[in-house]
Amino acid sequence: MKKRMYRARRRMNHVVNELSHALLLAGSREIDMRLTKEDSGLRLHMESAFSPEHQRRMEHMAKLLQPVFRDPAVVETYGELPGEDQYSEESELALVGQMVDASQVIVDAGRVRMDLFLAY
Amino acid sequence: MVKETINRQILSDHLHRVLLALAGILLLFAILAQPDLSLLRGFWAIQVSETGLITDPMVTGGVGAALLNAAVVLFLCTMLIRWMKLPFTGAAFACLFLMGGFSLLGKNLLNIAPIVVGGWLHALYKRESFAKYVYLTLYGTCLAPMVSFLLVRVRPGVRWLSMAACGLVIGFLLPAIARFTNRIHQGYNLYNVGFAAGILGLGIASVLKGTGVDFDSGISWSRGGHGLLCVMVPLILLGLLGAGIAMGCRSWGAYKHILHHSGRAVADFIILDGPGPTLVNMALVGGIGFAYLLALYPYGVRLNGPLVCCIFAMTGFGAFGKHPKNVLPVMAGAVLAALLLVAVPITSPGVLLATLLCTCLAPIAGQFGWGWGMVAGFIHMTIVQNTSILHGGMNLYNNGFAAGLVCILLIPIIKSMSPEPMED
Repeated sequence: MKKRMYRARRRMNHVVNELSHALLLAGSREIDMRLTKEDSGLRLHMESAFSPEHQRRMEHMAKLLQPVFRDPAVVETYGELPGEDQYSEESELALVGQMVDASQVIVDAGRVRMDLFLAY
Repeated sequence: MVKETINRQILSDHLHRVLLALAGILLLFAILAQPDLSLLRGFWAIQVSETGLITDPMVTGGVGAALLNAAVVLFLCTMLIRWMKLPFTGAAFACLFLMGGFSLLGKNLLNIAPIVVGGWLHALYKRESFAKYVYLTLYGTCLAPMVSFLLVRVRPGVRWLSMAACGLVIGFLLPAIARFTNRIHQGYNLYNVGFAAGILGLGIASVLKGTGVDFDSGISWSRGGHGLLCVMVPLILLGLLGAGIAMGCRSWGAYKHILHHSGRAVADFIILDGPGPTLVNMALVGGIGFAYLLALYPYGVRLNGPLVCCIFAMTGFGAFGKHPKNVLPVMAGAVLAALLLVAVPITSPGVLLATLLCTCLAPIAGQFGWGWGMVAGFIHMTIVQNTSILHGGMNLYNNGFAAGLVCILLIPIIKSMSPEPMED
């Protein structure tokens, strides 16, 4: 069955862009990434080590990616912003947290594992 | 998981009640101001009157009628967000405070209705839920004066048709433009739709001017409601402060994290820091605007519809990007410009509005420091004097339009002058 995938694809590009930027900024040397096209949406798995001094930054990122509220109207209003500016990652990571429909982020000492799902 | 969902719902319900309480306070003061039938007559007069960039509905219908208009618009928009099952986040607060506020400066039920329907048609065309377009649509009502203009100026036989058509076109087109303009200023202009509306307004006004239409809406500016508004505004701000404290912001430590955000969109303080600190921040940001206006009392400044609108706009965006640390430098820059430029007295209506609404550029101060924030405020004050002519004064968020232009001018310069950070 044909689905409307264009938007999900575009948004996933923003998500990958922002997350890889955040991980590299946190001292990551290698990022494992698996992007799967499922029947109902796109699933992204990302895993990476990071420098110990960025532990709090990664924990903050985990909080931003798993927000208390998800507001679809915010995504529609500001959805074009991620990837536009590399100065303040917080606001764009917050937007990534709003964009995805489900997220699980586990931050261990020096390592982060993310599973994000974006529905069509 | 179930417990988390219930907690989320309870939190959203509390925030919903805060907005209903605000509408209730506006209604109460409306009745106190005009406790007779003139309230309803004034309310109707506001609906069918011509509005413009600086039009005080308190002149058109009276202080009470203007507050009633704000209460009704705020209540209906709050219920719309609720009906759409959207959470009451900082984005919702900012949007709803702006709706309530600008109902004291040009918006009314009649002139926003066709734009909202246009936004709904846009969602229908995109085969998406209208919930996704609610903020864009509600912000898009800043072009409502154009709807009122046609209602008043077009000949009787076709006036309703032309105003409806104009509103539908605005509501239908604006979401697409607003999504695009975000990329231009990169989230440094908090009144993004104002920028988009300025561009659309420029297009529509140019077409209408081409057909011989003359936009000459004058300024109306009341002074009579100062005493009552001086009671109402602090009551609202103290209410927000109290609600914030009740929701857990009881120490400096609980609040201070908000000051660390740049404020660049998307900085939803309810999501990032929780409702308690956010409500306290809203009260503080609104308090800055109120204190500034009170400080100008000896120079003849009195609270009225447009000025309360500015306080509401500042307060609302205290949940979505503004905090004392990033608004003060921008305001200081704007005041400095007003003091240095001979042509703009600091107490003139346009300058007062610009000083308070230039805070939509607060993310520049938050991101690049107070110095650049002051520069942004300074340039804003000069640019905003020349933008209303472009859209015929039909865009209520003229400061958002000017702020977008400031960003186009300033952000590339700031970035080219900032050293690239060194990394390991």
